[in-house]
Amino acid sequence: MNASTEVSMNLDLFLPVDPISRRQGGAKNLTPVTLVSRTTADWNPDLAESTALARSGVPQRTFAAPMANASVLREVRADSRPLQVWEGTVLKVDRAACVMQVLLVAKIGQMPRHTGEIDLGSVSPQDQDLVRPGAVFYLTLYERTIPSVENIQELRFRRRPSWSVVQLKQIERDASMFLSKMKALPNAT
Amino acid sequence: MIDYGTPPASNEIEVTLFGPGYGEAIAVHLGEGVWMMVDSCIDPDSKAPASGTYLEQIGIDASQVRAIVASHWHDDHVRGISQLAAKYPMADFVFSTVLNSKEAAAFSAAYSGASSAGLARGSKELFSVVQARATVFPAHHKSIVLQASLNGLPVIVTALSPLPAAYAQSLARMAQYMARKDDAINHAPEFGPNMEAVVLHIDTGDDAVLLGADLEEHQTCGWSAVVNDRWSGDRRPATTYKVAHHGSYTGDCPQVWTTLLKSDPVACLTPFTLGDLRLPTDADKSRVRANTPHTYISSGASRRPDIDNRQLKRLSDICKKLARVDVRFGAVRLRKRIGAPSWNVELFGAAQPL
Repeated sequence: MNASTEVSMNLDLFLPVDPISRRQGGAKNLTPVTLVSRTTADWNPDLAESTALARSGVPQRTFAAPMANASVLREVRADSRPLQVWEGTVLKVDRAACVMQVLLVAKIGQMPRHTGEIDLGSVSPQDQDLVRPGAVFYLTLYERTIPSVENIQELRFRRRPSWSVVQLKQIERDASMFLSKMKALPNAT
Repeated sequence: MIDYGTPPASNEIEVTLFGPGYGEAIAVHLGEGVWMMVDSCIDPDSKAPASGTYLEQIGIDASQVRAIVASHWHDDHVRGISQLAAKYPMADFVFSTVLNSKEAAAFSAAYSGASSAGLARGSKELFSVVQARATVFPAHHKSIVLQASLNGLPVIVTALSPLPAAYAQSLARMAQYMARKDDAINHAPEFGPNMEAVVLHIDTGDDAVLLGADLEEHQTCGWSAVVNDRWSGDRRPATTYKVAHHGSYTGDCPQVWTTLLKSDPVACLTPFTLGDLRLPTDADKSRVRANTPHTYISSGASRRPDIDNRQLKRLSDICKKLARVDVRFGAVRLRKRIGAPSWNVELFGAAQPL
């Protein structure tokens, strides 16, 4: 029974400060720790040896690693100036690697389109269900120079409502119009 | 701005392939002043459709464009095609027949129509064209897309795909994404593998050109099915090939090189760079070069980020592996006089041998 697994954890994952909205220069003096995960049997002596599963020593439940805290608006203040707003589109989501491939289009000024990779930990928990290919988000880079230099980022996903009856009727009309324009080409022999 | 020089002679066939790194467009001169456009991408200098800018620059009148073909509705092949359709109102607008069904119309309307603008840029472009036009022409296997003549010989453009099996497959895919009341509105997916693309065969009387679009390999719906089809196999073998699907192995079918093409054809392709997908890969390049040494790519430029240092530093804190999508623009131009033994190749901008 005392099956246990030692897992090296990076304390960054549990920082109370959001990694996206982290203030510039915030030094962290953290010591890596080793967490020991055990089966439920270890925590409840009454359970020990009481079931075949417990005796097998195999963990009976697994838990996904906790997500890092994501963007919080409290960091963006009235006097923060947006340096750039990137409109992003999710191209691909790799849940195993905890990253999403994104396409970025600058909304301020002329800037070529870029692609990149963003850690899913940078997405706020309330937006996690919106992360899927095609989803649109806005990545805003703010800066604030008074009283001290502060760089703040905000990542927000665009929410879309459900299809309404009015929209479905419009789709029907659009679809009829679409089909009415088709004309067959001749076939080769 | 690229200087493209003079237009082709009346008895000269021309295939010009444009590509900025993400996007593809082709302009084809079928002889005697008749032009066809296939797909569309944006010229970074003119900010307008590349093939339209090209024709304007070499002095081609809008009335000479007889057909515009959208091989499929992916964003990298249709950017600006609605502008192109407006610029050439006399040209027939042709697209894949997979959009010619109740299911496909409803799918297209849902993700591109008035109720949901912005959900799918690619299909939005096509939808805009359909809205503006009185008629549009769905193309499928064996469709005659365009007929012209060159020195008295007939020039015929036919579609080798999509095949009937691909049509059925696409309907099934689209049906899954039909809009339903109270369902959350999500974005239109890009289906893969691409079996709906329109592959074009151009028979010029004494030679032929094969434009492979983005058709991918599949036994019953993709390249294998095309090359194993008797009618397709009877087409005149081509000496020029626009390599399918940006040279990717998913668009590769060895029989294409032996059945539909003559040996050592001139091949050209555009790159595709989006996210972590970069085509052609080194392996793709080697494979294409093994089939023919005469291969050219529209753009081989670097993808390093092009953002000012201050913003780049800030953005890099969150977004890793930043790469530019639209790298330097280039064009590969192939011309051949009727009866001439080989193609004349010209490279513009960032185009280079593969």
